[in-house]
Amino acid sequence: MAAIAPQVCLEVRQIKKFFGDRSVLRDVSFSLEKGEILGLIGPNGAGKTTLFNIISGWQKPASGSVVFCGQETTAWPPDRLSRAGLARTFQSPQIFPEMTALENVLMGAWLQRQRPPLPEAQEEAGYCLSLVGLMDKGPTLAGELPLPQQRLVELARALATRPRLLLLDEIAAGFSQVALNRLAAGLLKLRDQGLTLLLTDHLFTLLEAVTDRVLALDHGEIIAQGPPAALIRDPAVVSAYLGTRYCIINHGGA
Amino acid sequence: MWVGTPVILAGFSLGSFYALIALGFSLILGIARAFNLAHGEMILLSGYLAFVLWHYFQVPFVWILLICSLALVWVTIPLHYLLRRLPEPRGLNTLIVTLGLALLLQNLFLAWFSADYRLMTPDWPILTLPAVNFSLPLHQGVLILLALLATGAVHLLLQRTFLGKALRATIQDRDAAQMAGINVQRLALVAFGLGGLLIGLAGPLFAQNMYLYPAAGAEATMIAIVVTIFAGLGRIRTILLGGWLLGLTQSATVFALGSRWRELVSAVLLLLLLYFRPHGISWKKES
Amino acid sequence: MGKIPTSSFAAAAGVLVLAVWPLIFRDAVQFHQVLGITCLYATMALAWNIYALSGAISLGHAAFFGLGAYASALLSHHYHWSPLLTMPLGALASVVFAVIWSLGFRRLRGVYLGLASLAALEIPKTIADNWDRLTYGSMGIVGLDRLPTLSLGWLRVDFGMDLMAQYYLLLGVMLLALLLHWHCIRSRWGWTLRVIRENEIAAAALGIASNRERAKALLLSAYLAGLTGALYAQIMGLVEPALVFNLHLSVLPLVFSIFGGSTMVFGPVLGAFILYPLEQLFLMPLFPMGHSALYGLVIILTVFFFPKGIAAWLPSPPKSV
Ligand SMILES: Nc1ncnc2c1ncn2[C@@H]1O[C@H](COP(=O)(O)OP(=O)(O)OP(=O)(O)O)[C@@H](O)[C@H]1O
Ligand SMILES: [Mg+2]
Repeated sequence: MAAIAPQVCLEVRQIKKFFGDRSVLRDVSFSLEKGEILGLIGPNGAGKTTLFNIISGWQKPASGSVVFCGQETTAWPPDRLSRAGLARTFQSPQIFPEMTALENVLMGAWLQRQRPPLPEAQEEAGYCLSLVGLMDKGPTLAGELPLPQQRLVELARALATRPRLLLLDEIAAGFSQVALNRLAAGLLKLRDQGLTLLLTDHLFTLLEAVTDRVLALDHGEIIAQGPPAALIRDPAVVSAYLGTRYCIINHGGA
Repeated sequence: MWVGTPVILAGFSLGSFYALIALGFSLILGIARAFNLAHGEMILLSGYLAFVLWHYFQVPFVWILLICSLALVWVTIPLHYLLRRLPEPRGLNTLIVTLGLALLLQNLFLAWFSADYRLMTPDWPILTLPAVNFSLPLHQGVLILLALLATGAVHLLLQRTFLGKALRATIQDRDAAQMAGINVQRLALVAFGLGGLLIGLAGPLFAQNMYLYPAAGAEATMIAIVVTIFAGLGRIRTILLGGWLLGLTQSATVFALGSRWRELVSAVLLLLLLYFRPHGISWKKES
Repeated sequence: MGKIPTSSFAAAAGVLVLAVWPLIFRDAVQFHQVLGITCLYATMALAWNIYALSGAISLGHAAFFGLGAYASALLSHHYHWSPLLTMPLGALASVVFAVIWSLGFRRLRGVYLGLASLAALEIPKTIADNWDRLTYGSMGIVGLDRLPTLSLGWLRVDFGMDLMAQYYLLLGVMLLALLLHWHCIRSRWGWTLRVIRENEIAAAALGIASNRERAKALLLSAYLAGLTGALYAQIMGLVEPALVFNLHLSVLPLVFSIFGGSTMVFGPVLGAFILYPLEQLFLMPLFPMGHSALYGLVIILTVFFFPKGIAAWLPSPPKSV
């Protein structure tokens, strides 16, 4: 088994998804190698979140399959996928509002599949929180943090589960440039430790800084892929984004 | 008369009344998103008021209807202001608070009226149509007539008036209605007011057709919930249909198995409805 | 080592008072009885709360209470087994109902779960009310075997008739339930429940199977509630549908827990010990009818003014994590 595709972490095969009779994903296929950072861009409503939901088990595709670490996981519920090592963050952060930021992260470290003893989990939680640069927010109630910081708490919590694959859905929305740079540096560091990442964003800045390869999704179809720098000049991508300011600004700046 | 006739007749008159019971509940739920577990107790409150007016003051029935309807508006509107101030999670807290209110009212009834069964029995004649061998106690006829009139009136209000349009819009999609400039809080007040009128109207009818006793409210609440979830929100004709179906099922069950099984009918129907529709009433966007 | 926290002191002192006062006031029989029943209802509140810790508000726990009571009574009546056997066995009937509940209600949340649980009570109640051959219908079963007398050398403890002995029995059961409740809050599994309560989506993202964990909590909760019901039946010596399948038995634990503080280890017990004696010893003589209005009033005020319960005002225990 392992000999066939030792390096493939995630493979998505011809996913189709409909909401009612609206086609949201049309034959999306791609694969993700171990240790790779893959970006996913696309205008609003392109189907990025839907694709994430299908990969992480929250929604089921009409047809097609998802293979994670060599196992067909299309029909798995999200908690089982998480126990298999797939972690994710949500576009609208899902935190435990009545717990402190540190406790949030601790829940990831302590309740994860390997069931580590409490002291070890505490250490791991502190480490993950410092990794996202929120050490000083540890004792704050998570529900009282601003949204961008809630996203970071969620990221730290996902990291604390020691995932093999991490999906980040618009993690950087509302971030300042400083925070963005710190996040990019953190993600690269994680990649070096062997984590595989799939992330979406509207802003090209983050993707440009961290990804090896970017897929461009529009109306549920992959219209282009390649290294970020090349993708910006791809006519298909430009026309998909035409009229939306993000890409234009970025392009001009690049 | 065919043996089934009284069963169907009873089911039909019960069912019309159930629709009336559900109407107020459904309006309040649809617009204010509040599950009012004290609904049945409020009907009882109106029923006891009717009983007192009739028994101690010999007030004519028409006046009783009027007084009770208006009186209950003075109960539901404060409830609106109370529930508005609830902390999150609103849905569950509404449930808990109205459960507390139900308990409070039940015990007040117990203190004021003791646990005795009471019935308002004006000496009204029995209507008979000898030609088709048909007879109907007048109070049952009044029950059906008033229930249908009230249902029809609410239907017309929702379908034909400007206020009704705003109410329907709010029932369908609260956020969109708010964005379209509808004052949702004001409408919730209207819904509680209308709900109060309907609850107040149901009270005297309850007192005439069913026994009043402090614990009688729970069943009425359950009936309102079942019919409302069956019908979905804002669909008055389906509420009437749901009321009749429940009424007929109940009277058929009582006919076949005996009256002790009656209360099970609404409970089992609710469980079945929720099993197949776990989100109960699906309002757009929320949930 | 560090200081022993005040909350532990308070708890130890509380238990000591509860254990010692009957020895001092040996003749206060009414108090023995009322506080014994308080312990029983506190146990019921703890049972209810174990399920509530997973985020589910149940309005149907009377079903578990009643099933435990009936099953124990039936075993005792038809087979004449000792109550010591029928009680733990009878509580299993509640667990069976909890399994059905977990399967049938697995997709329900929040308000709808509450409504369904309210309706669920009618099923065992109507069955007990109508299955005359087995349960004697609405007449109920009377004259159940009393709890046995225990002899330890010179000490004879008559759990059947002696109200003080019953008090100690019920206190013991309550303390065991409290221990269980403590575990359901402070252990790793307790935090799992809390995670589910606070955000089920995030819980699933951490790999927690919410439905399974919640079902576990319900089974535990149902067993404890069933045991409470069985104890009630054997101590009273009778069961009756209207008595043990009473909505009151769903509402009381809810009120005690939420008023006391449903996220606190001692919350439900605190609520029971403040409210129930207040109602029974103080309000009942004043208002022979309608004294339970207290619970309605209290729950409304609690939700508005201190939704976390009064235990939130106590000196907070140190964070265990
Ligand atoms: N539950 C749903 N029911 C119906 N339509 C949906 C649902 N979820 C998403 N959609 C639709 O599917 C399309 C894809 O949505 P999706 O959220 O995947 O887009 P996205 O690329 O993540 O957009 P954004 O950048 O705004 O996050 C959108 O047009 C959206 O309206
Ligand atoms: Mg999205």
